[in-house]
Amino acid sequence: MNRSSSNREQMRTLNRKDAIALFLIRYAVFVFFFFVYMAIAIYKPVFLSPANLADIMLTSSLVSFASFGLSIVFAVGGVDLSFPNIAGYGAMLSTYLMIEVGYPVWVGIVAGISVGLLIGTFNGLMVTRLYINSFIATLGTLFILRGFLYWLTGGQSMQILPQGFEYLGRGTLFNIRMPVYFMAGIFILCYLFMEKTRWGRQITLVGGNIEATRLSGVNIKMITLLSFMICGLLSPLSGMLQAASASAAAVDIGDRFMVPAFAAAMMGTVIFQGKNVILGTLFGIIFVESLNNAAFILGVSPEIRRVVPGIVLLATIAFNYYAKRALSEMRVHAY
Amino acid sequence: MGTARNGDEDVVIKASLISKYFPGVIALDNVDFEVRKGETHALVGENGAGKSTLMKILYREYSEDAGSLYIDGKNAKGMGIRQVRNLGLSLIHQDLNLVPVFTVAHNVCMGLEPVNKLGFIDWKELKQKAAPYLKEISSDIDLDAKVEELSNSQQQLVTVARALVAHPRFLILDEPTARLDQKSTEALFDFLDRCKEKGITIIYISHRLEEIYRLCDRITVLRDGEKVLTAPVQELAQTELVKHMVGRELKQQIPKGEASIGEVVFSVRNLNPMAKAKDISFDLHSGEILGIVGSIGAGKSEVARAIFGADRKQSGVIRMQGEELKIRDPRDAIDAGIALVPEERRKQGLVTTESIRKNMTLPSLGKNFCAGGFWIKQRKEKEAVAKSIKDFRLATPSPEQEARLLSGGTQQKVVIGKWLLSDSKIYIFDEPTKGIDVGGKHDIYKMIVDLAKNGAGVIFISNELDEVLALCDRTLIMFNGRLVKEVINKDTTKNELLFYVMGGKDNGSKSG
Ligand SMILES: Nc1ncnc2c1ncn2[C@@H]1O[C@H](COP(=O)(O)OP(=O)(O)OP(=O)(O)O)[C@@H](O)[C@H]1O
Ligand SMILES: [Mg+2]
Repeated sequence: MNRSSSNREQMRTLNRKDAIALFLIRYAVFVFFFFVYMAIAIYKPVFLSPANLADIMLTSSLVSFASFGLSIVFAVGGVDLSFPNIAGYGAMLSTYLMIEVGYPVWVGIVAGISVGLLIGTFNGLMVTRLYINSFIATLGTLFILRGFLYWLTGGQSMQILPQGFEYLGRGTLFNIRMPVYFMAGIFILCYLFMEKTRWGRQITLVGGNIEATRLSGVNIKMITLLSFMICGLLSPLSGMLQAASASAAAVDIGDRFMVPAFAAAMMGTVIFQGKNVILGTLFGIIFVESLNNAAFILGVSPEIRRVVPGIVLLATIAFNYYAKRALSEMRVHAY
Repeated sequence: MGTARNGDEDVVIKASLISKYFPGVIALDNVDFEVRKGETHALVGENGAGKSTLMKILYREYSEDAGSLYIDGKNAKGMGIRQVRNLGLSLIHQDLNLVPVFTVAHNVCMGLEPVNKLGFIDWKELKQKAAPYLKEISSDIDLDAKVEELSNSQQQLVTVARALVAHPRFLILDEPTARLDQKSTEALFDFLDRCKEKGITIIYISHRLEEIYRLCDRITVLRDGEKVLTAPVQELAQTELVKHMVGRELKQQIPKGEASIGEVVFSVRNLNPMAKAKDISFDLHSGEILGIVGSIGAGKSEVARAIFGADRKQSGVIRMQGEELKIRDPRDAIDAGIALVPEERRKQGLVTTESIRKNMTLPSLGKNFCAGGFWIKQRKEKEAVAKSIKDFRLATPSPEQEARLLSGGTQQKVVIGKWLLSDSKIYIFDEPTKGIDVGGKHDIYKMIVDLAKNGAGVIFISNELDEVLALCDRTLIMFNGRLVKEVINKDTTKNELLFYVMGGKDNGSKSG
């Protein structure tokens, strides 16, 4: 405490300058996308029109459930490749029950979620009880599910959906489509779960160091299983909402959002260096979907637009890497 | 300005007015540091004082934010690690940065692997190349063994061997003895003596002051990022040195009042861990601090881990207050009220990418910091962590600092702190004071004594006989996986402990 105060002052200002640089470098991704969007908006002002923004929010919301689920599996240190097919099962089963059997809408939805939960549990058990690497285990599930799904449905799609169900995807409230509210709701739930509850905390810590958390008394098997179950539970919701908003359920419904959901969850994981993954994933979803939308506005062909999520993902990872490099060049070894 | 000038011709490392900032931390503040040719220079200071940071600056792993640096008369400012290594500077890091799945030989020659004509690593030559360096420091490490199969002590020796590959003229050792057992420490000291004879300049960091008096010529003390003084070791009495380090008077005595030892609360019968140790039986009383000593490889950690359920055990009965415990994994042990402060802080103790706060409350999150076992009580959590940070005098800008950014000793304090928040009945400490500064050790002894005073049973495993002697009530000695002797501490001496630790046998007359 005998340090001269002028010295401390000097150091403080130095640090403040550092802090700004640090912030800019760390969040270069945001800065980069901000400029990209500005450029697009100047070239095509319609990009920022309320109707278009609403559209971005809608497409984002359809992807969001699967993406949040996936990011929770990433947080525990695993991966779930089968989520698009879980989504397909959920959507097909629920619409089948509603249309062919005539059950009420809520039964269809509960059934859709349940089958997802079941598959998620199966994935989780393979990883925690049979010690199969989650990449391989869920790839296996993916193949099995896919085969079964075609066999069960004959590759058919369901076209006419019950009104009540369609309302969930196409209805509006205060001029905003219903799925956007659902996204807001599930974001808050997942956020609170990951940041404010014991299980959420433990999921992140298991992902950080499995041995240290085991020695701290965390039930690592239960926690790992839980995160696969959550992913299984959330994925069908994406499938069902997609079906409801498109008024059709097809076998390959999950394939449509596989890549964007994956990219968004990956981005969410790296964007804040593995912290706050749910918020990161929300940003990821919006980045991916708005760029996709921009590509649409710019008249890029649909085939090429499929490349967009990949670009967003690579850009994020590249920026993250360069941020690290830049920081170490600044010799700030903190990040 | 700057170059090694007249008068101090023999100054080979000259760092002037070095400052280094991390976000929120002044790690070094205008530090002057000079090392003379051929001397052994000690660098001491509390945890987080900036010792490792200064050494990493010399080694050009970090570059300073201000100041100048001359090594061997050359301006080192623009240099990288490779160039200073070429100047003959080698650094043995505080953290073992070995590749666990690679062989010893490969780790020793890391980055300098000889290749054959096809560009593949030439394993035979690699081994030949590594052998002489390893022999300098140890004769009983197998070059073909994987590093992960070695004991902590042996791993540390491998890092020494690796530093030798660069044929250093300047050798920096950052807390090399924290992981070493008695025998390896002696081996290291012999080796350092040989280095001195060869005229190698040594910078030596340690929290064990007796080592510094044994080895070093001059000493530099850092406190809170500032240089306090540089002086010849012999001119500085130990008490004075401690005062310079911690900036306050420190009682050298372990604050151990009259212990009130109660009933047997915890007993272990015929415990057979999967490896190393055999047939372990002992009792622990409430309010008692029970030491376990033995050289590395004696099986102390294995016993602790088997009790705690960290490893499976072959057989054995563990009772708490007479009731048999079924412990299959650490969760069972913790539920029963047992805590284990593990041996390796970075692998077993911490999630290094997470904050101090999240690490500290992990074991007791459900029990103490959640409403209904589910919702985290943020306020309570923050208060508890803030208090621990104060009690332990943690060198950190905030409770949200990631554990990997803390100094080594500070990390160790976090690991201890996390278990002290767990309100357990039995505490097992496995080498808890490794890497902790003088003042911090004192604080931790006091906390352990307080635990015992409040009725907990404490098992204290350590390689430092002095601290076991002073802190514990009773001590068990292990040799080659067996409990060979039990002594009451007030009736014993360090020599007696040492005798049994080294494998000495009773001849019937000694025990009472
Ligand atoms: N990469 C980093 N990022 C942020 N802070 C750091 C970093 N490295 C070190 N520090 C901080 O700088 C200070 C000095 O750390 P340093 O590791 O040099 O301490 P030390 O004297 O070696 O302590 P110990 O005896 O515990 O090893 C500490 O407060 C530490 O938290
Ligand atoms: Mg250090």
